[in-house]
Amino acid sequence: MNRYARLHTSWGCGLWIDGCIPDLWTVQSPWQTLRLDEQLRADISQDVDRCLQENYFFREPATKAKMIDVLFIYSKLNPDLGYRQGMHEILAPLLWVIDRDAIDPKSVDGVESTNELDESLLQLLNADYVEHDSFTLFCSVMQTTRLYYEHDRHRSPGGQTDVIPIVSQCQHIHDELLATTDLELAGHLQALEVLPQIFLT
Amino acid sequence: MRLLFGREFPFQEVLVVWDRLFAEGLRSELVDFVCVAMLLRIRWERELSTHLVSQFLY
Repeated sequence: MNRYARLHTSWGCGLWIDGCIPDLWTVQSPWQTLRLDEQLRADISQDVDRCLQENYFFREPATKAKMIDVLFIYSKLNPDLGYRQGMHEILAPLLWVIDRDAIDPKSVDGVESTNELDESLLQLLNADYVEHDSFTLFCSVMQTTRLYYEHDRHRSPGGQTDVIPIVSQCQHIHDELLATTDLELAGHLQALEVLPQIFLT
Repeated sequence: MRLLFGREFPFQEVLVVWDRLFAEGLRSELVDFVCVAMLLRIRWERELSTHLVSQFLY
């Protein structure tokens, strides 16, 4: 929570401030950084604005603000990945669940807690830290999911071409897993010339 | 895969699928297996509906 709060303070307003350590490593001017950050926030905002709009929760400005901040900070911390469309749809259900389970500490003011478990639960589900908890869980989920967003090409195993990791993964699913489980289906898809990444990404 | 099946199921069902995936540590091979399972399921459902249609017609 403290780490997210510090990152949010450094980057949240989008201005270059002393203490914004990663920017000191680049040769960009602060103004370039500011412009790039603004563009990044605009890109994220475009996706967040369209995310799960049939659910009233995602129409609320406070929710959109939280999503934009979490995704922006994640992108700054992971410049090799940046922000990619789809990350917002990973974050959305996490934020929803954490918010639904959250307890407003003010609502239990004056109520005597009967045991240690109550105290722990109150701390775990504190509504003041929905954004912080969402960020932490999002980072955790992205540890696996980041593979599907990486865009550095590498040689595919057994292949001659350089491909991005998600394509490599799709080929593995089709050529090895599906072929082992249902050779006929794998062959059928191949005969139709349907590339694995078309139906798997 | 990029959306962890977020668009393959209704929202409430996505939460159930994710519960399962996260409980198993969200290993990438699990995601691969779910993809294969979904492909097989689509095949079975198509075959079943083709079979039912042909039973109905003949």
